[in-house]
Amino acid sequence: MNRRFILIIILIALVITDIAAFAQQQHRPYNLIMKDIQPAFAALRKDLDGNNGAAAAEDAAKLQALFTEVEGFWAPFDTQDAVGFAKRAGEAAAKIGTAAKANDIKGAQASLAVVQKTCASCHFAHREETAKGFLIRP
Amino acid sequence: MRRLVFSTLIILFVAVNLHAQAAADSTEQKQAEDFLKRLNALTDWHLTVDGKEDGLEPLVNNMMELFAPDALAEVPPHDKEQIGPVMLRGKDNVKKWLEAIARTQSRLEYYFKRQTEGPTGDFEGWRLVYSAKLPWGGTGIAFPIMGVWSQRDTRHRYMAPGVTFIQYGTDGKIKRLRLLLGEIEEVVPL
Repeated sequence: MNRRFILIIILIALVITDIAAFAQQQHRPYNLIMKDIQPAFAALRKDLDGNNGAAAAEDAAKLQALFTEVEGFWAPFDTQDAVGFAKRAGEAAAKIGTAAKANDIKGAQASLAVVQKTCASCHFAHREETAKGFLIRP
Repeated sequence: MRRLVFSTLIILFVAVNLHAQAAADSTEQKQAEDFLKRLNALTDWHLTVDGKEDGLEPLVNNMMELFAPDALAEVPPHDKEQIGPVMLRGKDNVKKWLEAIARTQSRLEYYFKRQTEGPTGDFEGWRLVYSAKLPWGGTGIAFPIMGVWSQRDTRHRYMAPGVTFIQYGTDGKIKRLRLLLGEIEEVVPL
């Protein structure tokens, strides 16, 4: 009885660990994440330009989640700068959200510039444009 | 008299150019160029959108084609814990070293140091490759280089002057390699 119980516990623990590891490794294809960032960023900028703090906060949260996905993509590789770019962009998106909620549009705009700059730096280092489309440079 | 001087000058000009061409087309020159070309290509791989390495293995294999199975290579340290050069024995260890370069570095740009001397050398400089026939067969070549690379994790860029010594067996495969890099400096913006 005791042996069976221990065996079941071990099996459950193994399954949970595997699921957790699998979930950690799983992420959406990188091109899809990037394609979602572009409209989210455009919407955020439009909301900020229109002084719409509430909508901007929503867009910023969306953007922050997308940058977390980007960070997840780069995390398994030994590419600290890409992880850093994603982190920095995510933090800036969070700041935009906080500022937008407080209707501090100017502050949000400043953080938006940080996001834009960070995106550009990452693309410069890790995006290669070819005739067939973009390639991800490790 | 004028015609004679003119003809002599033309002949001299043609002779100098032919000589330069022969040096640039020599087997040793091609071997050195091929070595650097394949070495620099090691980091030209990409990631797929689902995060898989794409094209790394063929690049490493392309470089490995140059080596004999019993190759001996003395190379700069490629491990943070390593101080001083590393002696790699056999093709498998050389492959591990090349894979480490491909995975931990980026934007490799090893190039020949040019010497600006001699006819036409004042403008472009010569990519000198010294060569010797080995007493036991095969050829040895040596050429001064400048090693330039970035660390993949930090993107910090480095450069170092160095020399490459390669001994080829009679089958044209690399039996011995010594890649020496000295005074590694980080490239920082002014």
